[in-house]
Formats: sequence, C-alpha cells, structure tokens
Amino acid sequence: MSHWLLETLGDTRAEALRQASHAQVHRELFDRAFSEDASVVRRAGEALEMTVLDFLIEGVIDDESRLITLRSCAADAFRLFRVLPPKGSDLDWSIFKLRVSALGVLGEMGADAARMLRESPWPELPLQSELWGERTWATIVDIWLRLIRKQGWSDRDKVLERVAALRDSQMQFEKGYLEAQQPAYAKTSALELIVLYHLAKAAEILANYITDGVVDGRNFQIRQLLEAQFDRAIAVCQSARMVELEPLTRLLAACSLQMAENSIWTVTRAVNSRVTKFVQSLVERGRGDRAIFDVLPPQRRTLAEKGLLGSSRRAVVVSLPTSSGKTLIAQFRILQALNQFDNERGWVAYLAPTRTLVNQITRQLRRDFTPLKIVVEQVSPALEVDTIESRLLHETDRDQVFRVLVTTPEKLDLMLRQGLERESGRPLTLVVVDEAHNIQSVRRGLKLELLLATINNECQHAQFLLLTPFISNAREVARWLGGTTSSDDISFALDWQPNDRVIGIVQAEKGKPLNRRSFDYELRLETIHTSRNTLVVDEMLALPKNNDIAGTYNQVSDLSTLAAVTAQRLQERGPIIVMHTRPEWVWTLADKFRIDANKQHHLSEKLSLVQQFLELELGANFPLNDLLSYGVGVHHAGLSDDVRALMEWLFEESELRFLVATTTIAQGVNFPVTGVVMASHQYPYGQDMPPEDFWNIAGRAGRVGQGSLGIVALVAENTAKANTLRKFINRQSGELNSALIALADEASDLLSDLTGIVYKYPEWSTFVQYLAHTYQQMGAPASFADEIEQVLRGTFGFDKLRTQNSQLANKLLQGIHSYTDYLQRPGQPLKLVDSTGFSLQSIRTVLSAASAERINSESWNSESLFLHDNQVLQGMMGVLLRVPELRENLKVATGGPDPDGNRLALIVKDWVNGVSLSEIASRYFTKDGDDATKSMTNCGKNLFGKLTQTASWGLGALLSITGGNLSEDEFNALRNLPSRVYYGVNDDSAIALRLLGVPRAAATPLAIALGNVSERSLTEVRETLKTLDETKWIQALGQAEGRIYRQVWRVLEGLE
Amino acid sequence: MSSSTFESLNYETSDRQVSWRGISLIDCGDFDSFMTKDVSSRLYDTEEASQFKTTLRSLATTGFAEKSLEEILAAESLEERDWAVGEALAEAYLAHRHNVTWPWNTERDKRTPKASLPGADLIGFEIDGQNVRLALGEVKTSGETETPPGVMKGRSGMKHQIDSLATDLGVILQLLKWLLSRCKGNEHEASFKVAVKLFLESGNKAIALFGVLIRDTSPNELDLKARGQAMARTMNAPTTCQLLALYLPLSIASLPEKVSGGKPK
Repeated sequence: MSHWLLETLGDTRAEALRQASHAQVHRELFDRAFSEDASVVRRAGEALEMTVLDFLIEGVIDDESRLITLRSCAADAFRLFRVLPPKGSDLDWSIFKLRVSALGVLGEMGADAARMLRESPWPELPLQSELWGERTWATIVDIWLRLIRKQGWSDRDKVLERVAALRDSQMQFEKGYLEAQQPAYAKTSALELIVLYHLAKAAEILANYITDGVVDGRNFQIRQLLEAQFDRAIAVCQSARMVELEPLTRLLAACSLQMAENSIWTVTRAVNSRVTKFVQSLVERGRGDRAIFDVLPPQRRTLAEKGLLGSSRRAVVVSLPTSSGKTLIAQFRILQALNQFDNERGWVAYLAPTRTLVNQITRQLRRDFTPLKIVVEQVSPALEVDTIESRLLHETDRDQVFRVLVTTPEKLDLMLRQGLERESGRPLTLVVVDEAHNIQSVRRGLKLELLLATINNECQHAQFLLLTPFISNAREVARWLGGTTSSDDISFALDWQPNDRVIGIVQAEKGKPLNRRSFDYELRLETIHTSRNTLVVDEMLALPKNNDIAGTYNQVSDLSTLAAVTAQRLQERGPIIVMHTRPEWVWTLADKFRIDANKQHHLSEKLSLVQQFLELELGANFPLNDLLSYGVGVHHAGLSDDVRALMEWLFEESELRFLVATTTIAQGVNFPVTGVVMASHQYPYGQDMPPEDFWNIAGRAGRVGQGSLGIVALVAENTAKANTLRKFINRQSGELNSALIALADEASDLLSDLTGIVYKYPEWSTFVQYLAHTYQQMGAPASFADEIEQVLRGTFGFDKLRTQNSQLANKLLQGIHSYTDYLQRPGQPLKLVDSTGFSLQSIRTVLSAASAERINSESWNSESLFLHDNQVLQGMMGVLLRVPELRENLKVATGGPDPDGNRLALIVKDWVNGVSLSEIASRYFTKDGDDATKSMTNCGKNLFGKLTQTASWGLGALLSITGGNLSEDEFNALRNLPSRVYYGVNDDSAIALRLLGVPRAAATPLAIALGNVSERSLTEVRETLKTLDETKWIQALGQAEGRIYRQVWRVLEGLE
Repeated sequence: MSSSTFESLNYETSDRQVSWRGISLIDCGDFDSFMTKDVSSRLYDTEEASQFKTTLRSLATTGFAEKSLEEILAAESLEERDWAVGEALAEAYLAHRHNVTWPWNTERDKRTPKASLPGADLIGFEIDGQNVRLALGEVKTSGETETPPGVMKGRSGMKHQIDSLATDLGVILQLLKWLLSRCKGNEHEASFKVAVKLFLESGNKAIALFGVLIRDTSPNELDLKARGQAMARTMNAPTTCQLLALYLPLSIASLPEKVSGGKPK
C-alpha cells in the first residue's frame, strides 16, 4: 500500500537508495569514506522513518499490506542511514545508531543491524557521568544497542548489569541533578527520567527473556510485559516536549516487540519438552558467540506464523532462499516428529544428495541432538548394507537405537526395499529431503521421486519435509505428497536475504603500452542487476592489476588468470571460493596464488596438521601441501572425502584465504564465504550450472555473521562471454519439474516397450524397478497394469507428463502394459530387484553371464577373493561390466576394446589390500606425459567418484544373485565383501572404523589394536574412539602417524 | 492580518524574504483580556497536577525509586518566570494576528534542557487558506536598554538560532517526527500533512520562520534592522522570516503578575 509521505517523497527514495548502495559498495570494496550526497540520503531516510512512525502510531498489526509497507520503509531507512558518516557528540551519534538499528529490526534486517553494530560499534558513552541525566541517557542507549547486537551472552549480561548499576546509583545522583535545575525544567527532566527508567526496565525484561524464555521465572507473556512498560513511557512522553525521546521510545517499543517475536523462545513456545530442551541448548551453546537467541525472519514465518510446528500436515515443502536457515527449521520438525512417535521409537530419515552434505549434516545434527540423547547415525552411500550397518539398523536397545538416519536417497531406497522399516519394528515418521529440487535432476531425480512415492504408499506414519531453494510450485509438490487436504507449502518470497550482495562480471581492460609488445591492464567489475535485490552501482568498479600474477594485458587474457587476479584483490576482505570447471584447471588456477604476497611464514597448528596428513596419505610432493603454506586449499572430486572435509574445515576456521574448487562445490557448500569468484559457470561436462545451484553458492557469499557485503564475481575474457554471463545470471529458477518428463522425451522411441529400455537408457532402470517393486508389494495381481496406472496417475511425474505431453504419457502407459506382461512371466527373479537395485533385465543379464563365467555360490570366499593370484574376482568384474546400470561408471576401468574385468579386478584388489593412492595412480591412471598430480587427480576422481562405489554395489548385487545356495550364516560371513571394496580395507573391524570416519590408512592397524570392534555397537565404538588417548593411537600406528591420524579423526568427527 | 485594538505599528520594513516590524502593545481592557485569557491559557496546565500520581504509580514497576521525582512533580509550579510568559505571549500573539495554530496547548511542552536536543521555542502551522506552512520560531525577552539587546547577538542569539532553523535539516525533521504524534487523529492532522508535503516538495524550504522579541523599551527599528538585513542576504525562497518586536506597556518583570490578572504571586 502507499502512504502520503511516500508519494511526496517520490523518486527521491530510489535516488537516495542508489546513493547508499554506491556508498556501501565503495566502502566495502575500496574502504572509501562516504562521499555521496548526504542530504538526499538523510532526507529520504527521515521521511521513511516518519512513515514508519506514522504506521506505528496508527497500529498495523492486523493489516498485512500495511505491515509489508512498514517493513519496507524501515528496511530502506536502515539501508540509507547506515551509510551516513558520524555526526554530533558521541551520545548523539549513538542515539542515531540506535534509531538506525531499531529500524533495521523493524525492517526484518535485524541480523544486518547486529552485524553493523559488531563491525562498527558505537563510541564509548559517559556511563559514569556525574550528571545523572547524561548518565541515564548513556546507559539506556548502550543497553538497547546491546540488545540489538546480541553478541553472545556478554551483551545480555551487560544489559542486566547496567540496569542494576543505574538503580544502585539513582539515590546518589538523581536528587542533586533535579534540584540544580530551574523548577520548570526540573519537572520536564523528572518526566524524562521516568521515561528512561521505563526503557531500562523494558530492556531488562527483554534481556531475561531472550536467554531464559521467561521473565522472573514465571512470566511467559513477553508481549504484555513489554507493552506495559512502553505504554507508560509513551504516556509520560506526552506530558512534555521530548522531541528526541518520544519518537525513539515509539521505535523501541515496536522494535522490542519484534525482537520478542524473533526470539527462538517465542517461536517454539509450547510445542513439547524436547523442543524446549533443544532451544535451551541452542541458547546456552558455549555461552559464547555461537549462542542462538533469534530466528531469522524466514524461520519465524515458517515455524511460528505458518505453524509448521503446530501442524498435522503430512507433507510440507519449505521453499526458501539459501542461507535462510532451513536446517534449523528441519531440526524443529524432526523433534516434533520424534515426539509424536516416541513410544514406538519412531525414526526420521534425513536425505542429502552428496556424501559431503551427508557428513556435514550428520555432524551438525549429532552435535545438536546428542545433548538431548537422540542418536543420530549416518550410513554410507554404498549401495549395499554390510553387517555393521545392518546391526546399526536393527539395534534393539531403546537408548541406543538411532532416531535420525542421515543418508542419500539411493541408499534409503535400497534399505527400505530390503525391508528396513518392517524389520526394525519401528515406524519411519518423517522424511526430510534436503535440496529437494534435485527431484528434477535427470540422473537422480526420478529415483528420489519414486522413493518418496513408495514411502508415501508403504510407510503408514511417514510425513514429509522437503527443503528447496525458491520454487514457484511448492504447493503442487506438497499436494502430491500429502494428498489434497492435509498438505501445504511454506514459501518465502525472494525479498528476504541474509545480507547485501553484489553480483558482477569482471573483464580486463587494456592500459598504456608497457613496451613495444605488451600493455598494462586493469580489471573492471560491472555490477549486474538481478532478480534478487542485489546492489548495483552505475559505474564500472576498478580492481587493480596484480603484477605477481600477471604483469601484462596479454597474460591476463585467460579465465584462470583473470579469476586469480580478481580473487587476489577480493580476498583482502576475507576468504574467497574460486571455482573452475575441471580438477586439472583447478590445480592450474590454484597455482597462480603461489606468490610471495600469499606466503605464510608461520603455519598455524591446523594448517600443519593437514600438511602432515597429506604427506602421509599422498606424499610430500603432492602440490596441495605446498599450496597450503600460501593459504590456498583445493577441493575437487579427485581428492578423497577426508581431504575435502579437511579443506572445508580449514576454510571454515579461516585458515585458508582461497579455496579453489570445481564448480560442483556449488551443490555441496554449507559454509559461509566472503566472496565467490567464478572462472566458469559450467559443470565439468559443459552444461550450465542450474539457477538453483548458482544461487546456492551466491547465497553463501557474505552470509549471516560474515562480512556485510558478499561478492560474487564471474570473469569474462571477452564481450561475448560477458553477454553470456549476463544472461546466465538472470535465468530464473522456475517450477519444479519431474525428471520423468525429460527422460520420457529422450527415450520416446522405446517408450512403448519398456522391456529392453535399460540397455539403451540405463536411467530407466529406476522406473522399471519401481514397477517390479510395486507389483510384488501388491501381491502380483493379474490386474496390475490397470492398478499401476491408477497409482501412477497420482504421482508427480506422470501427472506432469500427462498434462505436458499426453502422447508420450499414452506411449508410456502402453509400455507399462507390455512390461507388466514381462513381469508376469513365470520364474522371474522379482525379489532380486529389491535386493540388488538392478532392473529385472540386468539381473537376467548377470545370471547368464555369471553362469558362463561359472560364478556361483562356490565362488565366494572372503579369505581368498582379494588375493592377487586369485582369478575369481576378475570374472566377477567382467560380469559387472555388462550391467547397464554400472557400465558408465566402470568405463574407465574396462581396459581396452574387449573388456574382461581384469584391470578392474586389479585396481579393486590393490585398493582393498591397502596399496597407497599414489601407487594405484601410477599403476593404473598414468598416461604418457602425465605428471604425478595429474595421474593422482585422475585416479582420485575415478576411484572415489565411481569405481569403489559402483564396484561394491555390483559385487553386493552379484552376491545376492549368485549366492542363492548359501546358508544364512555363510551369506552373512560374505556380506562385508562389498564394503571392503567401498572402504578399501580388508577387515571387518576396519570397516566399522571406516564407517566411523577413521581414514583408510589408519583403520586397519587401529582395528587390530582395538580388538574385535566389528562385534560391538557403533555408538560404543565411537565413544571408545572419542576417549582413546594418544598413546593408544601411537601404539597402533607409530609416533607421528598416531598423533596425526588421531587429530585428523577428531577434526572429521567434529570434535575439534 | 486582522487588526486589534491593543496594538499600534511603529515600523515595518521588508527586504526580500525577510520582514521586520515593531508593534507597541497598548494598556487597555482588550490587552488585559488578551493577557489573562489567551496568554494565560498557554501558560498553565490544570490537568498536569492530577496526572503525576499515575505516572509515579507505574514507575514502581521499574524498580527505580520515586522519592526525588515525586518531590519535583508534586511541587506547585505556577509559571513565574518572565521569559516563559514571554514565550506564551509570543504564541498567543502569533495565533491572534498571524493565523498560526499550535498543535498543543500549554507550557508543559517545554523542551528538556539536554543540550543536544534539537528544538525551537515555537512549533506550529501558519494557515493561509488551503496553504499551510510549518511555522517555527524563537522568542527572546529582554529588559535591557541597549539597542539592539544582547539576546539578538552571538551563538545563543536570535539570529543564529533562526539561521539554524532555516538550514539544519536534521533539527526540522526531528521536530516533524515528534510533531507527527501530536497531530495524529486530531484537527491538526490535515495541517500537518499539507505542511509536510509542501516542505518536502519545496526541497525543505517552505517554512515560515518567526523571531519574536519582547521589549519594555521604546520602539526602535535598530532592535531588528541589522539582523533582518543580514538574514535577507542568506534566506532563500520560499522560506520566509518575520521578525517582530513587541513593545510592552509594562515592565518585563511585571509580566507574570499581569498574566495572572494582577494577583500577586
């Protein structure tokens, strides 16, 4: 809605905001003092503040459109005022800062206000002044600034301390102060003091509430308590001319109510005792700066205003921009779901798309939930369940059973199809899907979608929480999962962002000639308008050249060098992520930062720990080692999970100035950065990063708690590229679509006969497995084709396909009918579909190939399978190479035009038998002319990213398919073979340690030293490891190794 | 401007945006009535006395002590300072003769002494048909015989204060924010909107400034002339400034007595 003042203000508002953006960008980037037009900024700010006051006097609580206008005016006033330079006395300036901060809170920019106060605190105030009036004013201003800043518990403690001190000295100073004044002034001064005392009391109430959730141990009615003080204060203001105090009091009144609304206590009040306990632990966390007192506006809307916690909705889609705190929202929902099924020991599945995210989420959930005695476990993404995981999943001790299981969608799918819920005897009560927009990913989306559909059908108590960046059809997705009546979406418009951001394109500009052949240069950053309210300045911003990285215009003409020079300048403000497309280019780019200016002469303990670890794992010459001493980390698929996790840790601990990574890091980053420099906007195989991923990484730039301004710079080597990037930045993320659409489109030629589809389009395996699974679940009915049609019509994908392309949908229905005939043929090994994760056709392929290779129950021997002179594995691997679902990932190890499995078997044996990575790299991944780094990277990329996972899955499946004649005991004794391949160890106890995060090289010796850990529960072994002192590690691993691996494990486990 | 029976014009000069004028007030029945009704009503507040008890009662909830505050607030405080009467006289006169309205009534709106607080002695609206301007002013009362009197000069003098009202945007905007709540929901709201709109649209220039000097000497244009001319050189349209010297038919010291209808205090 509009307001007469806004109409009067007209274009001045936009002009003032433009000036303020300009000032902010220049201050942040170039440390330049305010030189814009202060009068226009001030005038617009004051008029906006006046509009806010007008709304406050009228009362806006119940009118949504007024509230929105009020918030936008307050936010703009905050944006304007915060750039103005100091003016007036210390007290005047502090009062001004208080007004500005209060406006920030009212404009939903409380986090920005707090950050502003942390970054540029108010001046020292005369808190001990002999003049009582001045002392009281100083105290009030100081404590309210602290309430908004909330720097850990110390600000809160200071508030209480200062109010108490003010009360204590009132008797000493007040009388003299009043009596020294002329009678008429004395009366006004007395009234002013009374107002200030009310403000002191209100501050005290709020300070108690934000930490305790209660005032005086019994009163939870924070709103009423605050209103009582402020109503009186405002009434008193009206009996004298308090030109400054009255408007300030009105602002503080509204600001304090907003802060109370934002309090984590208010948001979670009266849910259940577990939630209360959780809040207590968040508030008390370390009593340091990490304590959480407030929720962010999107969290408040989701939890309190949209009633996520109070609801019985079955499916909720929370669609919020990156960095708006989705994990915390999920945590509250998890606690509620656990509470609902506490007697049954119900459990929650938390699904994350990548290994890195599974690790990160597990660490965070475990840290937060352990104090609440909620067991959080993760299972490996390996597509088989070994005995250790199986014991974890079937734990019966009520105190030891996991309540939250973190894993990938693929693994959960496999576990559920193998009967996890049924066998555990405990209900799955909630499925949290992180990054749920992956549902439309062509490669993995359909699996996720069908998994959710299966859970929806088969797990009676399961509820859903889907977390996505902003999508426009969240409701549709929620309806699909929850049925039409009991579902909802919670979407938050794009206008909220955790901090200010600049998105720009950097190009080099030719300068004066340096000599006859070369030219000088400078970089130009052009800020780009985006749909996300990012800051823009009209002119090009100049970034200086860097002689050490590139001396001339010619030298800066490639993307890597451009990115390096840009990042080198931007890192002066804080840590930067620099991205390029492929691991090899990442190395080249990282190497450019190896300049004297970055050399760190005294390495911190953390950096040298990682260096020592790298030396043990990858050799002293591995280039990352040296890069670390320049503050440069590297992160890509060619590095092991452990190394990548350590890079993330160093980065989060501010030990690295640069983290040079492949663009794929955009999908898995969960930590803040000051800036992002992109040498490329594409993924390794040349496709553009989707908008969701771009905004995911862009959203990390300068997030809550970090520097005020986040910078995302994309480099362009020429104008054409700059134009491409401009378009790229402004692509919109639209409706969430089903992967089925793209898949159906691609495979339209084979759609009407699904029997052979997997041979040409292995991605269809998921779909035909779903058919096979559902057929069995339904008890193999004769009318399956008609029934499944009904089921499919209720799915997201099919429904979308029907509306978007009915012809294809009809073709698919035909295909389903013919596939049903195939399923109904006698003797089909349907059960194996669920236990292997292969399609029926693939199983048949394996059966015939295995029989040709004479692989049967007799072939399986855990003692000899990985021995070098044993040829069985070679045959097995040869069979796997024919499986459509595995083929692509194993390609690199097929070894020549006529694949026989020999090469793959050799790699697997070396890996399982503990051969070092550098040795495996030189044996199998070195091409002519490759240096060690290149072959190591190539090896890592294939081994970690593809071979170990695929080979272990295949081996497990092969065991299921060919081990039919084994007794249960025999079968169980062999169940860990695939995990040996997955983890690269040849011992069951070592597998348990690997699952607990112990690095590969340490797992086997430590397992020997600890005795038979594979028989003990994981929780117990984890506790043992936590308390195991250094001497035990040293005994097992040797002096240096023991110390280093112990430290590294503790870091990976989140204990350091 | 309507005429009234208790005044006579001594001098009047205009120079660009500034005018100055000397007026003798005449001791007569109308003047008595003006003083005891119009001026007096701006000076005393009968409601105030009953309010302070409520104020103190709620103070108890803050945990701060009431004693000293109670003593101050409970004290009888009929205004007896001549300068305060001077301000009330200026307000009443401007309301009477210059169509200025005041959005509040009484002396209790005295501003607090905190030095940094922005302020003007007079804050109101000058109403001219549909046209409403923000009226701000300073009042000086002087019994000095010197011409011009000391209160016109120096940093706390009238000229300097009016200059800062004309140029310090922060002061005016702060006053407006405060004025907003005084005008909300009453008969002044419309005036407030028109005046603020005009003010903002004019690039913060549409204000009517008043400088009122209360004297008990013989009229002399030199009281105002030099300041008026100096201001004329710097004041930009559409800001206007009117300097008024009111020459009393009685001594400044006897003002409090006059305003109370001759009863001794």
